[in-house]
Amino acid sequence: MSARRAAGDARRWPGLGFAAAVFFAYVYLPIFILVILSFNENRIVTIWTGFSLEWYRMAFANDDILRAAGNSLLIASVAATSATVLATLAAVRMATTRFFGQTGMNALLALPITVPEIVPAVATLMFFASLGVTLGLGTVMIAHTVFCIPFAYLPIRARLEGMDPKLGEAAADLFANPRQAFFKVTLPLLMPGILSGFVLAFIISLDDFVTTFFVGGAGSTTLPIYIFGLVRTGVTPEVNAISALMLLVSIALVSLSLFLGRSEHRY
Amino acid sequence: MPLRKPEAGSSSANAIELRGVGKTFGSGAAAFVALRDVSTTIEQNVFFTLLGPSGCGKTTLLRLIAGFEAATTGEILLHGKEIADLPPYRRPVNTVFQSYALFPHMTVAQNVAFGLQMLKQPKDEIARTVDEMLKLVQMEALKNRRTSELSGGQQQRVALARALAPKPRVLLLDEPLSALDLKLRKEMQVELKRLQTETGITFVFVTHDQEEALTMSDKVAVMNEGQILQIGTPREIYNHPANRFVADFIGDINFIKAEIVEVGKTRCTARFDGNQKLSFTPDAEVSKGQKVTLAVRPERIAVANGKNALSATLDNVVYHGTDTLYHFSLGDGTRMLARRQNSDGTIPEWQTGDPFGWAVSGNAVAIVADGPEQTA
Repeated sequence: MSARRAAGDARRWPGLGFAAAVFFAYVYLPIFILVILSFNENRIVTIWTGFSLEWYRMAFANDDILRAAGNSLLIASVAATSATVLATLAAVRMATTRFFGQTGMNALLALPITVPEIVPAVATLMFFASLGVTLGLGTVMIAHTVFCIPFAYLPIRARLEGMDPKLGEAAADLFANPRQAFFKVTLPLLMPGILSGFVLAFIISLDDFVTTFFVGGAGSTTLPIYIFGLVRTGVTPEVNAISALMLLVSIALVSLSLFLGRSEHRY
Repeated sequence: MPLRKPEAGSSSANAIELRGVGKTFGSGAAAFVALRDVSTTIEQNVFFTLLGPSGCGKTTLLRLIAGFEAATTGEILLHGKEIADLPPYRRPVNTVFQSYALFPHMTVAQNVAFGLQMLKQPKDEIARTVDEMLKLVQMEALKNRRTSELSGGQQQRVALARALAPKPRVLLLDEPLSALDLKLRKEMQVELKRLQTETGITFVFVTHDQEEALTMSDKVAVMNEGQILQIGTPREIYNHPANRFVADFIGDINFIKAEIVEVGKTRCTARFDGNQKLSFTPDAEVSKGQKVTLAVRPERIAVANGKNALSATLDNVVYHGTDTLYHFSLGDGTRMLARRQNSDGTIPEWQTGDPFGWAVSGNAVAIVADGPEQTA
């Protein structure tokens, strides 16, 4: 019996195609419409009158938007870099040695992904408040680094698990001390995992609203926060344009991440 | 000769000396004793094989010498010097891994150069050694390939070149041929032996394949359950196995329970299977009335007729192309096997239960101690 005809084969379920179409429409149609309308000439968002790049020009001329975009990129760069370094160290340690409580540690490392973001956001705010720290760019960067770690950790860990543990022994056998073995063998082989972990962390940080909203302060307005502010006074085509640009950046980064992930198969 | 030979008359004639080496993994109830009190010496410039079934401790012993594991008890001396305190990257030994463990992000040449770079040798010297090594293993044409583009046999050669490049005085090989197919394995066996002879490096080779051990080694150590049971040349091990386990592990063999009934000057006579008698030259001290286990290789048993022939009953005859196997039983039920070369091309007519006459020459019988595998 061919697999195609096997009972329970999803492709045989009635209405599956229709359900899938509804699903994709529900997820992607609003985004698609948003992108289309960002090119709308008319100031009233929902009425199409003609093609125009006016809103993009306006967005790029708006100092507040540029500042928010700059903040977003700065925070994402710092948070993703710090998180990736920490995640790499954690992953290497977890993979090379066995110690008491390791399973629990592994679970704790991945747990933040499943915890509702509002919980650590509020907790972090209380933490900073009790320390008397002034909220701003610094606090946002620290908070972002923390929640980015699991996203950077998972791809690196997966990459390490696929690596032959004998490679480290081979390096040691060929007179490489632990530091040399790490930089000449482990790190180059981990690179695809590290890069895709970095990209993932970068996107997560770029996209974050809740944590930024809680622990941010004067001068730390990011694009999501800024857009939220704009939308409260009504959706303008300018918002559409910024959103479309963010979408573009995200897609580019995800593609890069997938490409890097694919190149892993070379090894 | 491409590699330097170890200087004659250097500090010690022994490449490796093991003194009461033991290794226990884990502790308490979960403790596993991988090696118990192993003592032996491995001379310089020999092809030394550690042979035994999986789990016998042979790989653990190799890893102790390489420094990947630390011995629980005992000392390991390398050219007369205790090396317990040295981490693997300070030990002048190199390893060929079972999985090859080539660095996948480097080319063939970069792999071979790695150890030399870590030793901070000058660039031109490294380039020269890499070329020399790749030539030695006949891989110079593929020096700029990535290792992932190589076949198993080619990877094997690169792994060898990489381990030989730093010119270690001891090369450790952990079942390096087990991943290759039969034909390639035979080729590499010859190749490895050639490399060892040409370079004068001491090879410590781990395998579970008895044929591999016999064909390549100068010395074989047969291991089981964390102990070395016998060390000797392949001929010694094959012809004079020290105990039942060694005899059984290497090749086919017949065991006969017997009692020594007569001891002469050079020969003795043993009685077995009720009242059959066999006269042979003992390879150990025997005394009258002693109960012994005799071991006879199937190829040393001749098919015989006449009144001096020993008697048995034929069970089965199996044609094997180059030779024919005769399965037969003694009167007490002991199952035996004889192998006869098909040199004349005739295959005898036979039936189960036919009487079977056999003979064995006096120097083909070994007395073996009953090892732990008595029940076999």
